Formats: sequence, C-alpha cells, structure tokens
Amino acid sequence: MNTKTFAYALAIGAPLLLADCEQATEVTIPMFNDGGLLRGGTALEREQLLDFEGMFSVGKGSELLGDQASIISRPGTVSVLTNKNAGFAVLGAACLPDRRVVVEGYWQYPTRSDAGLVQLFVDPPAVAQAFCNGERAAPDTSFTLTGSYGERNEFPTKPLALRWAHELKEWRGRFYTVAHHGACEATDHCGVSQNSIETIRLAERTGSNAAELDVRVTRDGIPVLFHDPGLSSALVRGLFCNGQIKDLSLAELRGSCLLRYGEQIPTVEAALDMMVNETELEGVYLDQKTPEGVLPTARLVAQLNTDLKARNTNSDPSDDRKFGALIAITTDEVLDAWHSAIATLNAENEQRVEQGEAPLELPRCLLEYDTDKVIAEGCVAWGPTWTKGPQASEVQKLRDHGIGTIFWTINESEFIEGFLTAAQPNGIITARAALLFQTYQLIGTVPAELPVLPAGGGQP
Amino acid sequence: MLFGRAKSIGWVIGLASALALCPSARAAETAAPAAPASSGVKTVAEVAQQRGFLYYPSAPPAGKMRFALGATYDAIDPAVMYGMSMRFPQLALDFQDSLGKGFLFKAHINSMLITNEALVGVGYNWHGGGPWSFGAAFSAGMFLGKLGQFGFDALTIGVEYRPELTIGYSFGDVALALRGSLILIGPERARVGDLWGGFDNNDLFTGHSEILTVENTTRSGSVWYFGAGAMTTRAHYAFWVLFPDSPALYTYPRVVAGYEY
Repeated sequence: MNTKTFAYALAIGAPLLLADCEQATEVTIPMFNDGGLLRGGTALEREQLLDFEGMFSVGKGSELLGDQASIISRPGTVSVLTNKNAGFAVLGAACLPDRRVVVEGYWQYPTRSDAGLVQLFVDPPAVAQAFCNGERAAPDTSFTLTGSYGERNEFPTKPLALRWAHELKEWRGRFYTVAHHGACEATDHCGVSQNSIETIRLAERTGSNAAELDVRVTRDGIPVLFHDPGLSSALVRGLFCNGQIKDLSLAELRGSCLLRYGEQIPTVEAALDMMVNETELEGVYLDQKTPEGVLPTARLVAQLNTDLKARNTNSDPSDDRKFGALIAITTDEVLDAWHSAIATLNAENEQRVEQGEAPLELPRCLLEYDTDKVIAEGCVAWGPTWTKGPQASEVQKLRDHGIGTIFWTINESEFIEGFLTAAQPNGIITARAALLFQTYQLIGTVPAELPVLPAGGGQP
Repeated sequence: MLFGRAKSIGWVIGLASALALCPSARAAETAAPAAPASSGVKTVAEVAQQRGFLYYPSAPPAGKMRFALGATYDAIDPAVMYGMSMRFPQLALDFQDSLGKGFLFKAHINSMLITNEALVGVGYNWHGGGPWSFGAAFSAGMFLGKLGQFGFDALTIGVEYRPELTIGYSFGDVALALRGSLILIGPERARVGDLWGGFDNNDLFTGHSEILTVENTTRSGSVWYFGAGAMTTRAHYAFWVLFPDSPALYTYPRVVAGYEY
C-alpha cells in the first residue's frame, strides 16, 4: 500500500471506528433495597389520596423542588410536581402498623440522569390517625410532609419538608396538560418508550391529564401507536425489526419488534381501553399520521363514545367516566379522509337504525392548521404548532366560536410561561408535564369552560 | 445496526491501513522534505511555505491567503430526524490569512440555510520537524437559525465558540490532518412568532468533532481535500432543529470535501 492509498484508507476508515448512533441513555429508576416501608403498610384509599392535593411550600429540600411544588393524586399514587428541571416524584402512601402514614417513592429530573428515593411522613399525627382510621382529612396549613430524599438508590438522608399552602387552581376538565406521545421524549431518562402503554401510565403520574398519541396503520388495517413511518433504532429494537409500519401486518410487527425499552407496540384499541379503564386521564389527542388511519380510528372512537354514553347515562353513577377522544387532523389529505370517514360512519349508522340498533356516537375533530377550517369543519379544538408563536388573536377568534386551543409541543420554561400568559390556551402538549402543570398553577389563567375534550359522544 | 456495520468495516480498513503503514511511513519520514514530484504537483512542504493548507497545520509567510469552498455531509439515519426523509450537504466556506510566525487569521461559514455558523478566530501552527506539524486555534462567532415556512415563524441565535487542536502528517504530496474541535454554543435565544425566550437545557457544551482530512496538492498550488470523522453533538445541532430542548448526545459520521484556492 503506497502512502497516498494509506492516507485515503485512514481518512475513510478511521472515522468509522468512532461511528455510532445515539449514545445510550442510562436509565435507573431508584428502588428501596428492602421494598421500603410501603411494603409493610396498608395503602390509603383513592379518595384519601385526593386530600394530599394542593400547592405546597418547600421548607427543606428547595434545592430539589424549588420553593413551591404541586401535589396531585392518581389511582394508587400521589405526585409531587415542580418547575425545577421539570422534576417529579411519584409516591405511594400507606398507613404503617405504628399508625404513621408514610409517603414513599422516587423522584426524577427526566432530561437528566438525576433521580433518587423519597421517604416522607404525614404530620400532624392527628391527620395520620384519621387516614389510618380510613377517614378523609381536609388539608389545611398544618398539613405537612416531612422526611428526606436521596440520590439514586442510596437511602434518603437529605431533609425534605413540604407544607400545604393552598388549593390548586382548577385544572381537571379545564386546563389540559397533554403528554407528548407519553411521559417523556425518546432522549429522556424515564425508562419507558414513547407511544407505549407504560408511558401513558407514567404520563398521568407526572402531571398530565390527557395524552397525545401518534396513529399509523398496519398493512392489515389495524391502527397502532407509532410516530415515524419506518422502524428505526431510535424507537424500536429487534433483529428483524425493519421496514415501514404500513408494509407489516400487526402480527409481523409484534413478532419482530419491541419498543425501545422492551414494550409491545400498542394498538389504538388497547390504548383507549387502558386509558379509560386504568387511568384517570380525561382525554386523548389521536394524531393521525396518515389518511389511512382515520376511518379505523374513527370507528374505535365512535364505539368508545357510545360505550361511555351508555355508562354515563345508566342508573349506576359509580361507573361514570368522563373521557374525550379527538381525531387530530394534520393535513388536507387527512381532512379528506376525515370527511370520508364521517360519511362512512353515517351510512353505517343508517344501517344500524334500520336494523333497530342505536347509532354510534360520531367522533369529534381537532384541526392543527387553518383556523377558518377549524370553524368550518365544526371541530372542537385547534392544535397549532408553537413554532409560529402564541397567535393570541387567532386563539381569541376561536374562543369566540366556542372552540378551544391546544398548542404542540412546548417543553421550555420561558416559552410555557409566554404562551400561558399571551394566549391563555386550553391546553399545551408537552414532554415536561410537571413543568407545565406547576407553571400553570403559578401563573396560568383558568380557561373558559369549553368542550375541548367532552366526555361521551355527540356534537357539542 | 447501520452504524454497527460501519464500525466493523472501519476496524477492517483501519487495521489493514496500520499493517501497510510502517514501511510507507518510514519512507515518508526519510524523504521529508520531499522533492517535487515528477508530475509537477507541488509538495506539501512547498504549499505549506506558499499559501498553506486549511487543515494541515502550516505557517506560510505573512499576507498569504487561502480561500476554500467545500461541503460537509452528516450521515444521520433520516428516520431519526422525525419526518425528514433525506439529508443534504451543508455548504462550507473558509478563509485564512497568514499573520506570520505561524499565526493565522481564520474565518469559517457553515450553512444549510436553516441553521448557520459564522466564526472568526486566530490560530497558531508549528512545524515539529520531519513530517509532523501541530496547530491550535480558537474561533468565536454566531450560531444563527431561521425558518419562516413549514409551520415555523422562528429564529434562534447564539454565541458560538470553537477551540480546535490539529495534528498533521506529510506524505510528500499528500497531507493528513486530524482535527479535534469543541463546539460550544450559548446562551441561545429564540423567537417564535413575536415571543422571545431562552432554553432550559442551554448548556454551553454542544458537542465535539474529530475529523481526519486528506489534502492533495496540485501543480497550481491549489489543494483539493476530503475527509471524514465523527461528530458527537446534542440532538438539535445534529438534526438542524432550532431549539435545544434535550441535553442528549448523538454520535454520527461526517464527511467533508472541498477545494482550497
């Protein structure tokens, strides 16, 4: 090999030694070595967890949470939400044999690898006693959570103290913290994959009350949750996991691919069922990535709307469930598919009526671009990209028509503050739910009650 | 998987090159400074004393200038870039003016229209004897991005700093240079619509690059070059996104090519 050939070979070959793709993110969700105190306690009831909700002042541990943090409750957990590094803590609460109430779990800054354990105790003892007696305890300013936090799996030793300050600003059914295809971005350290069942579950624990999910269709017409047209190592793993979603059947997709953190690629049907029956999320924004997905998704939503209407109008109020699913129209091609889908569903409803069956409740739409089309199409919401700015006059124009606005996708503190202040939207899609929730609580304006994610079916 | 395969090929080429290296390199050392090639192509030593090189550290006389036009291409899996199906090359413009005694004034522009980098700085090059030479440079300038279409009305602007170290090796009429650069950008500010703001993950460290270039002399004293290397940068820099919302780093191959006038 002469010198020139060598130089050429080195220049081409050597850099390839360095070539790799995305650097793997280290994901460690901290756990107590012995299972923690929760293991020996009796978990508090769902209604009791509601009594933890409020804005808390942070007496000790402000280096972790800032000066204030919100606490919300979810089935089986309470979550501490802060605007510091979009941090959150997911905690369980249980009455211990010695009649103390422990609130225990982990904290995390999702964009970094920082995480650790949290162990808090309810004060004053009278409140803990009430919880242990199975009673409710209306929070007041004497209600504190005192204990410690730590780094990684180390037993928590740094002092942490939260004192209830005041009730939360109205958010359920009013302001939508919409999880951007789940709780975290693909580059975050949450240990769950985007558009997975697991990330939807985590999303409601990190402050979201709705989820934005991406819909594509398999070769055999099954709508599934997936963002990109193709299967890339950024989103999936599997030796034989290659190609395009549209070219694979659901069986082939499931047989060859797992999501990045090992979860199955979910169908839209499974995700809707999970959200309605296993979470308290109030709605979903089904982002239609292709026109082919609109009709099968609209059918699923129509059936869901009909089932929810039946649940909410029967004589048993205990099974009522408020949940709204929107078909998000992203392009004119998807809009054409939407027109076609509604025509098909109307025709099918006519057949149902002729056969003596009740018609299905038609789905509702959100349109992401032209505000005049949002109005003309009778959509209940506008979903503009944040990259064109707050567009406050357009938001107000739609508000005057009874139409809500949900911006996508804002993850930055200053811009979240700017959009909340300038546009006062009904919701924002974000991968930083804790940050958005806390910022809304601190500076947001409660939006007018609009049927942005109306429960059940029928046109608003 | 694509990059895993590339890595394997890289090892094979690298090892083969190393096996073939020893006699050639020794020959080059003993031959330096090389005599003019019979083809009339100027030697590295001659070019280094005339207008110098863009990459191979050289110390031309004061007042000697070099202008270069090139392109860079980052081999990123398009599927990673959320919705983009193709990746196109970036334009690279370079200018250097020798200040004498090894010092250089340098200017660099890199553009893919949406995001642009414009840097000016100074460098110092030192010829270590034989075929080896060394260089250090520091540049500062602007990282600027703007997009008014495709659902964007956005602008981002940041201060960029780029310290660089280069080691060069002459093969007679071919110069090899390995350049390591730190890419530091910040603070960045952005405008969307009429709203300005900064970023939560606005760390100064944006990434680093290691590029190996081959510079080929010609009869006229101009130089054509090509090279490749690894970029390790934050996602927004890699994907030409205007907003740095993640500290995550990506490593990807970069190829460069161009002509030095």
